[in-house]
Amino acid sequence: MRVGTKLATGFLLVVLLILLTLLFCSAISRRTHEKLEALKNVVAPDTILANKVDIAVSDADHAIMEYLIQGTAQEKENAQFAFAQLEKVGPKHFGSETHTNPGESEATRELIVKIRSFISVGLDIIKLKDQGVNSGELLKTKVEKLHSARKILLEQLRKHKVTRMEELADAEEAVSGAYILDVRLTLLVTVLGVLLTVVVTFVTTRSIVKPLKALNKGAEIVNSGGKLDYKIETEAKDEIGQLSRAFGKETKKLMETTALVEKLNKEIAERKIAERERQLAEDKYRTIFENSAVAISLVDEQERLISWNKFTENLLGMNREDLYLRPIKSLYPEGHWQMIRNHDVRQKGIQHHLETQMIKKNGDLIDVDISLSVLKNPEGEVIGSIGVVRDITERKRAEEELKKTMEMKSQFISMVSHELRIPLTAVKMSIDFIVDRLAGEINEEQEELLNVSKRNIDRLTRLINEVLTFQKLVSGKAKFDMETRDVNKIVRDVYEMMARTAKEKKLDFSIVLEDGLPKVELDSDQISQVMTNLVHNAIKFTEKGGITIATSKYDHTIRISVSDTGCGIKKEDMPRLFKEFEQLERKKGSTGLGLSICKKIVEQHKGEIWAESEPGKGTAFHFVLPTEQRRKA
Amino acid sequence: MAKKILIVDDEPDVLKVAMFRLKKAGYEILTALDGQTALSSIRNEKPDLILLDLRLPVLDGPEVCKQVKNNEELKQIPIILFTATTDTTAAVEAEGLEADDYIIKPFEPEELFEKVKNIIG
Amino acid sequence: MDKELIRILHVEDDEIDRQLVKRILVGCSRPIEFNIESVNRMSAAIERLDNRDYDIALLDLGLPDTSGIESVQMVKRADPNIPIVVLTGTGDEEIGLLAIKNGAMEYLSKGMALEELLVRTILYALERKKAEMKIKETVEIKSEFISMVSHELRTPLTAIKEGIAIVLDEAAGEINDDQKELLDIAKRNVDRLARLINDVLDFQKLSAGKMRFDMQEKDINEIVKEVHKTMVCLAKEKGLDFSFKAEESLPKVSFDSDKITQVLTNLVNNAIKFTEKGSINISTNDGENKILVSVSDTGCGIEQEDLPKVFRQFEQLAKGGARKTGGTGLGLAISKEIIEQHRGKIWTESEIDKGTTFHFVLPVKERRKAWRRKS
Repeated sequence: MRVGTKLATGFLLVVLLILLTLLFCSAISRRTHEKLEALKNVVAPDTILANKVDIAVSDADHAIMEYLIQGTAQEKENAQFAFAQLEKVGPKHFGSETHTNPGESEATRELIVKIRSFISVGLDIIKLKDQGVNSGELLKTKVEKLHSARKILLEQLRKHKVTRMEELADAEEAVSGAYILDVRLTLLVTVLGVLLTVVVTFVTTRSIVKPLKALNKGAEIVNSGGKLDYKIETEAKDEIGQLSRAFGKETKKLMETTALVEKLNKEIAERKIAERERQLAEDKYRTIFENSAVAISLVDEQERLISWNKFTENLLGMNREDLYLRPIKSLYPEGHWQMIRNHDVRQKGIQHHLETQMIKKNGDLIDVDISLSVLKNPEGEVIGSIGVVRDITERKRAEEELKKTMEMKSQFISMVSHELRIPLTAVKMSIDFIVDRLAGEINEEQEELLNVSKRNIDRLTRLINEVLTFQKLVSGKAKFDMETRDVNKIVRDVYEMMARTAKEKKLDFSIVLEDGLPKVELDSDQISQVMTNLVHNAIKFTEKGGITIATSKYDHTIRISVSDTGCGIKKEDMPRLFKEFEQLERKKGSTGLGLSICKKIVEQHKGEIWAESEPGKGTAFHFVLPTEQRRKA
Repeated sequence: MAKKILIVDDEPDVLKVAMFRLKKAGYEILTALDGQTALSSIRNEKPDLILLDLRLPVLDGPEVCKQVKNNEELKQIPIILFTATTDTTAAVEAEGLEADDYIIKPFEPEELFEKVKNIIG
Repeated sequence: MDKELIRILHVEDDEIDRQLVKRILVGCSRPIEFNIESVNRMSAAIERLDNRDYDIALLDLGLPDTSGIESVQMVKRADPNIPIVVLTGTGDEEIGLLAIKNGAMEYLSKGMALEELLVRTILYALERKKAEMKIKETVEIKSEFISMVSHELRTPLTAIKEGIAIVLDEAAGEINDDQKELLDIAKRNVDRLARLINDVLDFQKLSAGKMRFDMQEKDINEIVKEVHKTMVCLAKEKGLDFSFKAEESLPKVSFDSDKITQVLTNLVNNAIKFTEKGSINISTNDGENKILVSVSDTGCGIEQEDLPKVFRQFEQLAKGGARKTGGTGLGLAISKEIIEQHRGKIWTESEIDKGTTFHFVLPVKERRKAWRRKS
């Protein structure tokens, strides 16, 4: 049922109830009133009538007596009239239709009968009289009859009266009783009516309010951020019920919508990311084109500038007017553009880099690196080209600086070595002079001391050389004076140089040279240094036994080996052998650079160096240098 | 009795030149080429002064110094350190090692002699 | 094929940017597995850095609980060795560069943070870090080497020097005049040798940051007086006046007296070297919160264009005067390094044929914080 209907119904019910109650009450009061009226109308007139009858009877009685006595026609008329009157007043009245009352009391009926009998006696008398019956007896009888009738009538009348009085009292009582009952009833009805009204109102209201409350509760729950899947329990069939169910549907929808929204948000986020990526990609190209620190420009088939990015303008200090349709070759020094283009042509349109210069608006030259891409149409005709130009002025400057620093450093190193060699030489020469007794005699002690000095000058020289050589090698500034030489000769030189040292330590020292070795391209100083170093080490690490230098042919290389019977090298130390700064044992008089220098030198010669060793037995260092044939190969 | 000086250096040439003047001045010179030998020498001979190079094989200078200074019997023997560093690390090291003085190589002529004289007269 | 694993700590408060970066790195086509942990506040980042190891940090500069360069500094404090790549908003090149100055390895504008670029930047930063570490290692090894070489060079020098000295002093026997002359030459040259070696080794040490300074509070005038005493003969030999003017009641300054002596000696040496006639003067003055020491001469002067080069190592001046008189060109470079490590400054003023003045200042103690050399 719809709420409206409910309300209407309720309302109507209420109204109805009120009306009913009112009706009832009024009905009851009317009844009471009617009863009272009835009483009034019946009893009162009855009483009046009764009196009237009484009077009429008396009149009739009197009239008849008069007649009887007088017997005049007048009297007769009067008597007839009186009886008619009585008739009128009595039975006629009582028996009138207007007074038809099924509940008419017996008494009344009796009265009527008595009145009638009186009347009839009365009339009989008259008749008799008329007939001239003057018999007293008859008359007497009749008058006695009349009087008894009258007596009866009066009694009846009295009875009637009494009855009527009783009736009246009864009725009054009944009416009062009924009145009280009625009042009670009215009250009851009213109360009932009110209750019913209340109930109806209550029910109606409830049937509306309950679902409303449920709806409210549901809304609150959902609102407070809680369960979207909260279902409103209601069985109401009306609009509110519908609403609640609809609410339930709505919240469900809301849940779905929220989920959907979340999903959408995610999608949006993803799309945003994708968009951003796309944007970035776009930006990338735009950025690269517009904001690159490279000048990108496009020329048409007539080699005029038709498109360029901002950097191009910045780079050249030119604006749009300067650049539009400007022949590109005018931006380069004379002939450079042709060179660039030709270079590209030779590269067959593949990207390449070329270092050249461009001319700024103010005439200044800037160093640039240009990368050119030729654009061709499907037919293969050149329709233009894109150039990417990098300003390398900074880089060039940095390169210059670096070169300069390197230059200076190597100059410094040579200067330092020079500077060191001078005093070294001076000292050495002075002392040699004295020791060779060219300045006079010296005694043993003096000689010994000066020899000590000499020895150490040699040592110092060697050390300094090592450090300087290492520096040079590392900086790539070592000069290699390559000449075709005979390896054996170098070996012999080294042998002579080191023989004394070996002898001092009482070690055997020998060389085993293969004959007919092919010549090798090498820097003799460097290779000599390598050999010296190896021999030096051999002597250092050998206490007894001997050292041998051997040369041999080995594939397309010459192999030189320096072997000793010294303490050997432990297996775990082998990998570190040629590493700079590494020293296997702190042995005096070395910088730890020796072997790494050897390695570098040998490798510069495109050779290889390695060692074999057995601790306690001895060590052999080998290095190979490629022969000419191999190098040519 | 002649004062005993132990010179410890792995460099024979340095030993030679270092002890020349001192020997001439009448000190008794003992030498050691590495830290181990130095310690045994110190224990056995109880020199009046030790000239100690810092870089030594087997047992290095600082270790020798520490061992001497931590030894009840030996700690009163003065030690002069030879060091090759020029910056005041030398001074710091000397202090850190509780040496009595230090001398930077290469030393000036007579410098060593002076210092020795200062300490043991 | 084994994938390289790179652990990244991504500090970024914008959700979308975070996703973006994650997307990019996860989708990278190289055989690299990026293990990315994201946090959105600096406080969280520091906590992670304290508890875990990462290979690299990607850092957004606009975080809720810190900002800009501070972010870089805080990360560096939490882990000094982690390479930092800073992600800046587009157009924020300046702050990117500033970040690098403050220790970030690289910066990348978010607008440019596309796969290749981002991945490459990360790899590059890692490479750089590795290289840095390697260099550090090498420097370590090198400094070991230096001290070893130092020893190796000085030991023979000792033998040479004392050997000659003993004979020269006639402690081993008498010598004649010729022998004496020769030995004098030898001695002078050994000294020169020693000086050169000292210079080179000093310089190596200074540049490797391995030079130790013994800072003590002293009166600079004392040092000046000492140097004067030592060098006055040399000046006299060349016929030059050598004076000094010491301002009394100079505040005490903390410095390494050996080193400052070295500097003064070097400056006076140069002054003497480049002055043929006239005078040399050292003066000390009180400056605001610092003391000023000046060595001036009436020598040949330095060309204006050479002034900036004067303190650079390896440089010899255009005039070639230095070349004539020998020297490694390191003296002034060493002096500069020494002064700067004292938190002072050194500079020169000169006029051709009129003379040259070298000034240096040393800060007075209060201003200086604990001195520490970064290595």
